[in-house]
Amino acid sequence: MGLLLKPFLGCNLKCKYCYEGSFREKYDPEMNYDIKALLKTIRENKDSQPTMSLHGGESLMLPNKDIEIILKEIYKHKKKAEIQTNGTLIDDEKIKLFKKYNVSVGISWDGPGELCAFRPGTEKVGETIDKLIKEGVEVGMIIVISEANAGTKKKLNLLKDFLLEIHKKGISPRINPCYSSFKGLELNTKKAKEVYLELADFCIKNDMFFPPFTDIVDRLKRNIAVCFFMGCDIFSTESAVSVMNDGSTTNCMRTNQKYILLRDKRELDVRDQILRNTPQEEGGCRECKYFEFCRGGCPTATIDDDWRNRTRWCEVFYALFEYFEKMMEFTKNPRLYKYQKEKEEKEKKDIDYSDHTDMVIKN
Amino acid sequence: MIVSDFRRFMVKQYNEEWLSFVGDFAFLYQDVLVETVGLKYRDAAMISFYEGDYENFTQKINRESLFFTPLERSFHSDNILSDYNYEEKRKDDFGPKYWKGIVTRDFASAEKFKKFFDKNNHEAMGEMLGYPKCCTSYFQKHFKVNNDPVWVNKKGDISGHLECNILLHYFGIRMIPHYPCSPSCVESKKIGEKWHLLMKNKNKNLAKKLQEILKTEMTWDSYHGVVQVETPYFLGVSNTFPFLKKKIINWSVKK
Repeated sequence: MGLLLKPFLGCNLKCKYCYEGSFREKYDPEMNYDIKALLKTIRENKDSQPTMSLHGGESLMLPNKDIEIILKEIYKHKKKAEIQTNGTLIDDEKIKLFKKYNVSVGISWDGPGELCAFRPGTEKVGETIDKLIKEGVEVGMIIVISEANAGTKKKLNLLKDFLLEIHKKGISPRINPCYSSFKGLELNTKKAKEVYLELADFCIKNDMFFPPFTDIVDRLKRNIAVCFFMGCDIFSTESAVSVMNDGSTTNCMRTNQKYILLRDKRELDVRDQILRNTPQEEGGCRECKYFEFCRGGCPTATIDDDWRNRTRWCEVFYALFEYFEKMMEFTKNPRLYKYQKEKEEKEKKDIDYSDHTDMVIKN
Repeated sequence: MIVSDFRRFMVKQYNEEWLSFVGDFAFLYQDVLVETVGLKYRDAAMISFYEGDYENFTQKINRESLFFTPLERSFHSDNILSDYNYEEKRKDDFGPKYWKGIVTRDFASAEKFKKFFDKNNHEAMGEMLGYPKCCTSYFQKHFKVNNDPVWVNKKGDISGHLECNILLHYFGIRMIPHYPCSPSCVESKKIGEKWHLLMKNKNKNLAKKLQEILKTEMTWDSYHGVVQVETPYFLGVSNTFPFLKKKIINWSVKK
């Protein structure tokens, strides 16, 4: 994820499972950022962070002039920028900015109609996505799997249709599980396991390879994957450095549920040590055959909400690791092979692109 | 031990000044640790420091007509035997990086202490270090099982004397050099008051700040070998004794 610029933690929506929701409710964040401090932090991190993204809260609540200042600074260093948004505030002016600064727009949306019931106010986001695609803007998507879009057989079928539809549009979404301490939002473990296994089957049959399935395959191949499986240090979340309104840096906002704790620059493997040594019945991962691939999962979605335990979604991911391991071992699935090839091609292209940019700057 | 030695200290947004306070506390504490031997408050002080500081440290205590006798080299700064010095300089985990030893006024005391140390005689060592008898007995009893014996039989809401607050000892934030047997140990309170006076003479503002933080309500949360101490200003995390079930202490000062 890289550097996440969070000048304003407020939002125009009230999504039920938002991981910043409890913080927002407690502090009612004001729009009082120091743009000079933010730009300074961007410059300080330009070499250490692979990507830079305007985040929030809702990033597009900022005035257009400030959005432009930030995107321009990111573009200056990276030749492209990223934004994560709920998509409800995108208009023609903003699309112009996206095109001008080569912005990849990540939209958080759980699907049309009843599928986005936990994200009230996002009903028309589908139209916005179509417009962005038509305008040639790169679009990414985060879909949160919850009771709203996978809680019943009917909803799950609608979700599958939605996945097919966006796949045809060239969007490769990330299908994240909903982690919420509020009751009735996240799927229970048993149901989640069934849903993810069914989605895995469905995606493979339809030649679609989305995260987290691609992440699981990557980890089984011992490749780098999403932070969830990389042994995240909760006090120094390497994959996400958040920049606050005063330019100070904190960790992934998932770690800041009660207050903003500033980031420790040293990354330690303390959680790995705990989990490796703690019996499974006590919340650890001792003797789990997938530990090296999973590393106990995200430290913010754990048993009893304590990072010193493994993820409370262990059962779900264990089943997925088992599923893909079998597939890789026994069937030599050609689709996985295809996915790997596509990934290698993409990486190759990325390298070519940066070399080219470098030469242009030098000239 | 399931987690190797580590300490980390992170401030909450808008409380960055606590980063420097903590470094300063550690130095102030170390100065008083040595001074109490020179002032004959006690016969010996146990101390550990980074190997790169050996020359500076020994020269400094020699100037005060004291001397340092090494006991052992260690892989980590000693936070177990009470006299603990927060040290940030460790760069890696390869090889012992710290000296642990005692500061005494004369060689005879050093020799005597060394004998007790070799025999693991905590009661005798405790006496030379000037610790209250009740606390030495407590330590002797519990250290065999729990190498970080913070009020082993207590949990939940606890109030005590601020001088007895050793919940932040991992980070060098403390007023007394030992594990007090209870949060309201009178003998420990007396020692803390004397030491705080010495601290005040050296740095009035810092000593006041130390008093302020030890008074503050805080939560000590120990689980699976890692303890987290949360105050309104910062969160400190360290390795500790590995409890399988979570142990939480909510600290407040006795009124």
